[in-house]
Amino acid sequence: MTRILLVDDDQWVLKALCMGLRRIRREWEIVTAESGADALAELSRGSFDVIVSDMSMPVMNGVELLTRVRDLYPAIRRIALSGSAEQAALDGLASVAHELLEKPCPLKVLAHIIERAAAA
Amino acid sequence: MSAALAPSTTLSPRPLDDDRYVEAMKRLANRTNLGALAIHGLTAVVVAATIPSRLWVLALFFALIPFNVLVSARLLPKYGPVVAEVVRSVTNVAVGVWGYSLLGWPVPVWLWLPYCALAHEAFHPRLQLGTLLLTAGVTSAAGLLAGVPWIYPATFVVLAFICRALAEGRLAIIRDMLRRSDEQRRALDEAHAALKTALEARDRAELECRRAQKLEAIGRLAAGVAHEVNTPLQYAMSGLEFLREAIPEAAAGSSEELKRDVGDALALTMDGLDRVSRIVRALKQWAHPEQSTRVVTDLNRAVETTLMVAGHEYKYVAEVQTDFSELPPVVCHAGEIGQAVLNLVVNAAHAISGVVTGSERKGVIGVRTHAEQDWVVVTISDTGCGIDPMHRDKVFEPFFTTKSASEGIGQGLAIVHSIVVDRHGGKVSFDSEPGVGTTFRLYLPRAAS
Repeated sequence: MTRILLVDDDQWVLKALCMGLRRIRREWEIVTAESGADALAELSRGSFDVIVSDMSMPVMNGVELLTRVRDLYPAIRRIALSGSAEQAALDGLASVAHELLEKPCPLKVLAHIIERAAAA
Repeated sequence: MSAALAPSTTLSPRPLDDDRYVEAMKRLANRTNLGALAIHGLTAVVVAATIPSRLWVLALFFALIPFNVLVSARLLPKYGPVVAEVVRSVTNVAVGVWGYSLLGWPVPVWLWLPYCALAHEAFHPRLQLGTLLLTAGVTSAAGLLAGVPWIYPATFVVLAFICRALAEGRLAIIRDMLRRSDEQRRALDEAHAALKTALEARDRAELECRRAQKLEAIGRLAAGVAHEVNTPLQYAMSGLEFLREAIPEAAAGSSEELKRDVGDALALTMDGLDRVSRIVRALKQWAHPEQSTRVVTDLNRAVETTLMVAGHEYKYVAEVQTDFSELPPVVCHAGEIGQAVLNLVVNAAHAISGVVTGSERKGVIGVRTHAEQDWVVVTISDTGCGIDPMHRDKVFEPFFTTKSASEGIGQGLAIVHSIVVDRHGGKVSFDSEPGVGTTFRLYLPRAAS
């Protein structure tokens, strides 16, 4: 079973993505985290195939989180889901994320990307 | 700016403007002649009437001096000099002759000599010298014929030329004074022109700075707004996508769980769209970048919408606590005041971010509005790092910054000052304690009722 970790500081986003993705792929197990620290805690508790992370978050932003994930769990496929295409935020992304998606991203596109990442 | 003014302080002496000198001398001659004309016309009448008392004649001469000064100071007859010269020459001879016969010494002529010598130096010096010699000669001859001691006419002639020499000295002084005043005036003109140029340059630079800062603020907003809008759009669109799939199924009668999810998706969608529309409404305030006239503004609303569009700047580092009092209307450029508030909020967020970064803590940005006598006051406080006392005097200077180049160009507070003080006739003050925080107060004049 594919395990996916969704990270976003906005719980409404998490709820919507979680609900939508579950409907598209009932077989996926989706876990959510509202901060970088929560995400690292979840990663330490169990294995995941894909992490989808927001970029702009307090304390630990998306780039920092994905960098940690790359170093600690290199097997996990990393997808960035960014709300703003700020150059400063994107600069660090190329080396830490396998995919970069921009909000608002259609659920089907997101599901497709996750599926492809999980299969890789 | 000081460099721009420097050249005007070293001035080269300039040649005297001859036209101006002649004009000044003509004016002087006019006044002098009018005075002399008045004195001697009256004197001639009085002496011709041969008033028996010598004391009365003397008293009249002295009494006429202030009168002469008054007349000279106020009237400038157009053809005065020539007429005066003729009348004076005639009356002078008469006065001299009658003076001798009455008083035994030429008092009136002596009294008049300084005027006589001074008057036409610049206007028609030859005529003046002629009348002087004529007066001296005729008066002396008349005296000698009348049998006065020779020492009187001799003294008179010597005095006449001494007076003339003194007058020339006086003229040299006047000429010098004119030259110097001319130089000073030119220096003043040049300094004034340099100052004007410098002020214009400063105004232009300030305008450009304000535009640059406005662009920076708009760029900042655009990035923030993109994020603020995209996030609710994400869950609104996801909610709709979910509904599109789920509604037919739910309509066909399905599980309680699906019905609950449909409700949630609707709530998500509506909330997302509501958030987007609120942000767009707030943005409208920024859609009039160059309002030329001030308008009556609800300041509380202007501040509130600014806080909304600036949310991206502070939401990860600080909680915003607002305390809006009921305010009288304020006549202002709402967009500019919004920009000033935005600058202060961004500064507050940066100050707090320096303190809380790397920790789970958040700071507090307090935003308060209240009316105070003739002012409406917006107070923005933070629990950030504070302003170093050594920087207190510089914070409003353009391009002064303690931030890195990526964080700011040192225009924020300079623009706040310019907007509030220069553009709105208000005041800006602040208190700050390093390690505790900073409080800025913007005072805007309330609208005249």
